[in-house]
Amino acid sequence: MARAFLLLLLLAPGAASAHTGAAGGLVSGLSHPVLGLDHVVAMVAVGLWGSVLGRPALWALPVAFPLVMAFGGVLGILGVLLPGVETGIALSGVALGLLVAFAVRLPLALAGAIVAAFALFHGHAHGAELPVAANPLAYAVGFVVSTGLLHLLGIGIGEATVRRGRPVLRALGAAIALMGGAFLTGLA
Amino acid sequence: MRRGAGLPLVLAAGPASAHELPQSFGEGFAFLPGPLLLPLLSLGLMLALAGRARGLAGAVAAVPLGFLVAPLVGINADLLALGGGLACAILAASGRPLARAGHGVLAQATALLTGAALTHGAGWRAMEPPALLAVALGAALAMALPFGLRPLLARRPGPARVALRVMGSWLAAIGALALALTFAGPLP
Repeated sequence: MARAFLLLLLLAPGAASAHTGAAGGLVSGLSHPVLGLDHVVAMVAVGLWGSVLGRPALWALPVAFPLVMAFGGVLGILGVLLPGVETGIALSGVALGLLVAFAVRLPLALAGAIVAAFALFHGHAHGAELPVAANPLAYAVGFVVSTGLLHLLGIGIGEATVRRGRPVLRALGAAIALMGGAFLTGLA
Repeated sequence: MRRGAGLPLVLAAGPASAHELPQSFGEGFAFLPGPLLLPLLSLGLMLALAGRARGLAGAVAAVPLGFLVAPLVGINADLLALGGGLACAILAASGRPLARAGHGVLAQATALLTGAALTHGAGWRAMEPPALLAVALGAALAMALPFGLRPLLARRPGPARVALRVMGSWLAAIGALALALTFAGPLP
């Protein structure tokens, strides 16, 4: 059933395109990941999954994500094409949400690889906007810091809910997966 | 006739402003351009995390040395400085140890290149001595800034170290994007 649902989502990718606005400076960079719900859910999910996995993943994932995201950003700046960027971003919400919902515990290297793969898509989307930004460096500072703060928010929510029992955390993961699915199918 | 027409233009050229380099102490202190703050903050963070306060003294001395060697390094000093800063930030984020003098050497090389980049490759003659002193002082303050967090490191080593490594990953991400943007075209 779950597989059929996932297959349906993959076969019907909608036009999740949160990246059409004009990039400005610091405030624009700070607000972009926060105003794009597809980014918010994925970033918060990274922090939540860190809470599920525990240490050292709890802090290793938020350290690895910006580094790989920057690599994706560099590809975007240099004009290197990455197919299915928007689909990848929407898929990140679904996949990370499901990993939280099912409390999937993977080895650190595998968890890092999954998060890194999605970070590449998120970074590319931002990087492609950077050269046309009014102040590219300020925009870059804004979106990196904003992304990092969303991870910390996810960790904070995760740590607070883990103490109250896993069901709350799992419900949050399911909600994120559903939201990601809505972006993937073009419903949101 | 063509040559004759060009002559008045050459003679009427205004004073070369060497990319608006500062000439007074006040201008110099407020001068540090955003992109070149990155390597200075990164090397400071790396040294603070590695507990190498002595390396900071060497890096502070390397900035004025950079003013002297700037003509030898040339106009690509900013790219090299950003590259050095990126290496420092990645080391800070990963927490990887280096050989005994490794952190110090990397910090000094990065500081020297940043010093060279601060004069746009023109060298110490491009600025008045008070401006040079102020720029060196500003750079030293930027490098010392992460050391302000050392009391926190001593009081709560675990969480503080994680927080500083997360900061290192943010600096590395911004540094990588700044480097790519500089490759693609000069930053404002």
